[in-house]
Amino acid sequence: MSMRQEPIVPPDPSRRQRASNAAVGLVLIAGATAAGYLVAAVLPLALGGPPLGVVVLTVVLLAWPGLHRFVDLPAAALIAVLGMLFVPYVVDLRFRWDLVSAHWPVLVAAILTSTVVGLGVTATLARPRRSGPA
Amino acid sequence: MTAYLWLLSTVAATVLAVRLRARLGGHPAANPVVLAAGALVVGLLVTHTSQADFVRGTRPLRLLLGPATVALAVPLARQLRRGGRRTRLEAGAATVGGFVTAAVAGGLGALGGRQVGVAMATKSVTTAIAVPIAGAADGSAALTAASVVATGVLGAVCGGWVLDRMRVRDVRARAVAMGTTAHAIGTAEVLRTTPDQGGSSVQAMLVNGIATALWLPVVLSVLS
Repeated sequence: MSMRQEPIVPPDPSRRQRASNAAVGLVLIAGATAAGYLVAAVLPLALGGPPLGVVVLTVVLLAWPGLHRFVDLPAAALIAVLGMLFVPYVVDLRFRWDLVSAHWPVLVAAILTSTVVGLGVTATLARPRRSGPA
Repeated sequence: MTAYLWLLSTVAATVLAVRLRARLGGHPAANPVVLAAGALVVGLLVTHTSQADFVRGTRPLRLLLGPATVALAVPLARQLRRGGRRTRLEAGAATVGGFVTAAVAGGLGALGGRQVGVAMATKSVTTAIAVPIAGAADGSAALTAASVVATGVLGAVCGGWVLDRMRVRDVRARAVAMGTTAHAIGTAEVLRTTPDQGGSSVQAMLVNGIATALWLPVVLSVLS
């Protein structure tokens, strides 16, 4: 009785490498998040942990661009689910309905007007100026 | 245990909403965040679920929002490395645009009293910045958080349509406007529709947030 031996396929090194890089990248993102919360707790700034974490990770990536190969994949995965992470907060509006409905005319007017004005002003200023004829 | 059913329900509702949007040809009014939230609200009303149960069930998603926000540093670093005059122009536009947005919203909101005025003035920056500013100015954290979310949803759903009506064709200018007025929710929409412009939107969101955190507490303390 002969047993057919399956060839042993070595794991794809590039795949393993990518997984390992992604794990390191996740640790870097988690570290920057923790650093952001730490700075927010220590310094009297009107900024929460996540925005400060963005600043921390941006500075790190600008100083060591090679780290992009670690953070690119986990960052893309996290950003892909960013919309979903806001869903619970939008649902929370249902529990604050009394508060919102008490002021609804002013809230609607202020949010609508300022959003339209803000979009218009910002987009106009952010457009590159066309240089005139020489 | 049943609380965690809301975690699964949130994920499932979002996946279905994304598919529905794709079926509708990516129509901006079919925003997956709004569709999923609407379905969940109906579920909460039908099952008489308390806020505590819903918050407990969705805590893993809420905890993940911090690292997901920090991940926005990756497109931002790429954008800053490209640098140049355009990047500086966009940073200036976000600062001025954010100021105008806060002034208009705060001015109109003040008609409803101080707490509404503070909530409105901070509504265009992300919750992690808006709530500390409102707290320092004796504003309502709950009203501020609700206003921030409502603004983000409105920007994500209607922002593209408004910019179309204003004939803003430049995709980078559109991304900057969305990041400035609709913070992270608007930025998520930009990353979904025009991923290459995500860096511009993140930069605008962050510049507006930091600038607002610097000037708004001073203005609010002077006004009070």
